[in-house]
Amino acid sequence: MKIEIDKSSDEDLVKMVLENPDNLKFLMDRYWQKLFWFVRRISYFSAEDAEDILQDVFLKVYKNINSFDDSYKFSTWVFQITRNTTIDAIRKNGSHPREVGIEQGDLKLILAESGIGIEQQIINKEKLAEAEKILNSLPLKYREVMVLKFLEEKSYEEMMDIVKKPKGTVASLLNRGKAIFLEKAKKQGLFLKN
Amino acid sequence: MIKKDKIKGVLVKIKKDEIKPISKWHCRLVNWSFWLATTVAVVLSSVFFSVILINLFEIPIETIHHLQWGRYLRLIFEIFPFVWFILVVVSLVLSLVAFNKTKYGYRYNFILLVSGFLTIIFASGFVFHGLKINKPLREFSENRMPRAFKKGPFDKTQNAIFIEEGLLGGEIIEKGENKIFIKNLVDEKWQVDFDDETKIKRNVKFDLGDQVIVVGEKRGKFLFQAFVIKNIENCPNSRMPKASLR
Repeated sequence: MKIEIDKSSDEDLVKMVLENPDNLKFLMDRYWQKLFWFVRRISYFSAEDAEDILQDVFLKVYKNINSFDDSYKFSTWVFQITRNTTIDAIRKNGSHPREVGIEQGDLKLILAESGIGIEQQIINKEKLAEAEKILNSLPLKYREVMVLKFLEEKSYEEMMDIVKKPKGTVASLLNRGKAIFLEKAKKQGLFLKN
Repeated sequence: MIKKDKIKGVLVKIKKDEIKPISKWHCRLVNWSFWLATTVAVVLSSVFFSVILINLFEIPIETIHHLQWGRYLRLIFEIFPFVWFILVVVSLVLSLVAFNKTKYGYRYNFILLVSGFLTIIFASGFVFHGLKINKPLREFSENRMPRAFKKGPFDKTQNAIFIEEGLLGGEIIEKGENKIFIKNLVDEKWQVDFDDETKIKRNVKFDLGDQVIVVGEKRGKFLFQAFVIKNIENCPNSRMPKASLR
């Protein structure tokens, strides 16, 4: 049974959930960790809060499972619900000091993947911490597309469906996010050259 | 461990609260209702636009030649029904919001969407105008709605502005050689002179009681030089009420 579940597609698992709600555990098991980090990266929530948000997410997944259609990937759909639920939670809780968010390991990956190209120039931990602070200070609309593109490795089509914005808008948010990051990094002297 | 507990918690909650998935029928209905709202808003916007067209066509387009662009545009501005324009914009915004709420509505570029909707609204507006669907609405607004809806060249409050800009409308009450006397909406008696250069449209018979529009120039107190004289009936959209002339 375990092997069959692992081999099953998301769409097959969705059909199984419709037959028996207990089968939702297979989908939760598959996506929990990915979504957990997604919530943490785009928000300031603690691990515990993120887990609570994920519970809400999967309750919504179950309630709305009939509205899922095959033209989406299930992963896109579940990321969309997670994003919306996280944003609702952020609004509900108001603004809090950002204690977590994008961590240094993720930051290196974003810098490398985005072609921002300063990762080679940031030599010490102190500067990396500065860069992390800058990235976490970016408005959510920029940070979320950067996370989706460079950490979750989503395509533009998937990102468009997750953030519910046209492809062109997603692309310009990404470019603008990178530009703001670079500008702030330059101002704070994170470049070795110049 | 926490993850497993949380996952279990979701399943327990589903059972405990007897949560059921929302039916497919309901999901479709929601999507259709947004499509319906989009369609209704676009149709309404087109109808409102077609009412604007009545006003715009009240000044015959061929008078541009005589009035020249500046005056023509000033008059258009005077008769432009801004209240109807606001209704067009509000309906357009509502249609965009409703469309954005449809299943894939968010995928489309905003500028492209606005251009597309405006094209539909303009095209349907002209069709509705051709089908005269806008007439009952205009008549309704004449009788029931506030003054702002009634703006037009034959509105009493705007009569003076139109005369200054070279447009005079009224009923023929006297006629002489190369001149007629007309009574306008505010019961002023105007002498209108015309000559060989004046373009007199075919249907103008200069019978007493005929209602005419004169395009020309104010030459003095209650004295007007005509460049074009048209029968009101020549203006297909004219709404100059006979009763108001008497």
